[in-house]
Amino acid sequence: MIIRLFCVLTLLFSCIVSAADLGKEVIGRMQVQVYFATNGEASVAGQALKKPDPEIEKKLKNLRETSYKHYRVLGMDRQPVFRSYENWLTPLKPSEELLLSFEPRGNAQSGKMMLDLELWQSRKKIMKAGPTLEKGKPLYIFGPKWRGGRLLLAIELVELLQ
Amino acid sequence: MNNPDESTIQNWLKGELEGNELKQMEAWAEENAAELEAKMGWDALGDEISQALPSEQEPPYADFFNERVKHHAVELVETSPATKAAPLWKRFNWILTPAAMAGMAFCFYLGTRIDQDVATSEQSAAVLEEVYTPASGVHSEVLHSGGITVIVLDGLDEIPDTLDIASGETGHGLSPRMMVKTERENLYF
Repeated sequence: MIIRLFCVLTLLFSCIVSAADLGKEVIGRMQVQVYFATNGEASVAGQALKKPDPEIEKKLKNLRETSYKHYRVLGMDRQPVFRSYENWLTPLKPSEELLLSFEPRGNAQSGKMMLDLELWQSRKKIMKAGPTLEKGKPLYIFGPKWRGGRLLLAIELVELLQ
Repeated sequence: MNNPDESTIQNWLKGELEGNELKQMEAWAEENAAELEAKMGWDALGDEISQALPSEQEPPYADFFNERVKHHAVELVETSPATKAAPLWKRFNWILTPAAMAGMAFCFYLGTRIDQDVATSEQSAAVLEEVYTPASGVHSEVLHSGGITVIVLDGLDEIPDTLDIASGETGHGLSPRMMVKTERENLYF
């Protein structure tokens, strides 16, 4: 009886605490897609890797001065944006060779959200930026080279809950 | 004494009267001070002015003055035809107002175009406040093309070809996700 009461009280307390922590409120969702971009043989990245959608591939090929002939989807991750907590994107899961941490800077305004964005390679921070993202308009980052090609990240605010 | 005439008063004023004539004049003057004063007023002043100034006086340098007036009159007559030929731009005064209006309209049009361009670029691309690359030898370039924002990072270490990241392999080291922010900052910087 005492154990049951203790469990109920603990659960109730944790619910109250979590409800009080407004910082954990989900205010949007972020997504990152990692592409392998190369002018050589795309299969070196892996035989099972898929091509991006034709529309996206066309958009990627139109990136001036940075376009490549072939693209493959290496990985993707989507995570909630907390009001005032940091969160992580792990697009090559379970690999942590590329990681992204993000945290909003204040409230979203006019459908746009300003973020603290950090990119990690081999568990070292390689870039920090403060982009203002708008839903459906990705930010592209050309990252490290690998197997004769280059890793391209497309970071996008896919949902805004305010 | 009856009213003295003017010459008697003048003589009295000049101190030329003597004897009874002087006594009578003085007695009359004491009794008729106001009348004496009236008689002395403007007449005496007129005499004094006529004595002080000559009857005629020529203006100084009259010839020179007349010559200068004549000279200026001639100048005015000679220069007046030149003023009739107005400068070219004055002939087209009538066009200034419409030209100014057209200029203002053109500037307004340019302003609206610039505003539209800025608005378009803001709508179509992610806005970047800053890009910071903490690792030495790494630098970034931000490109905006076709409504897309691209960050190009150069100078990064290559991922070893032997590392199969597509299969989930990772290099050795502590995961930054397992550390709090302050620990990460101390570890890497």
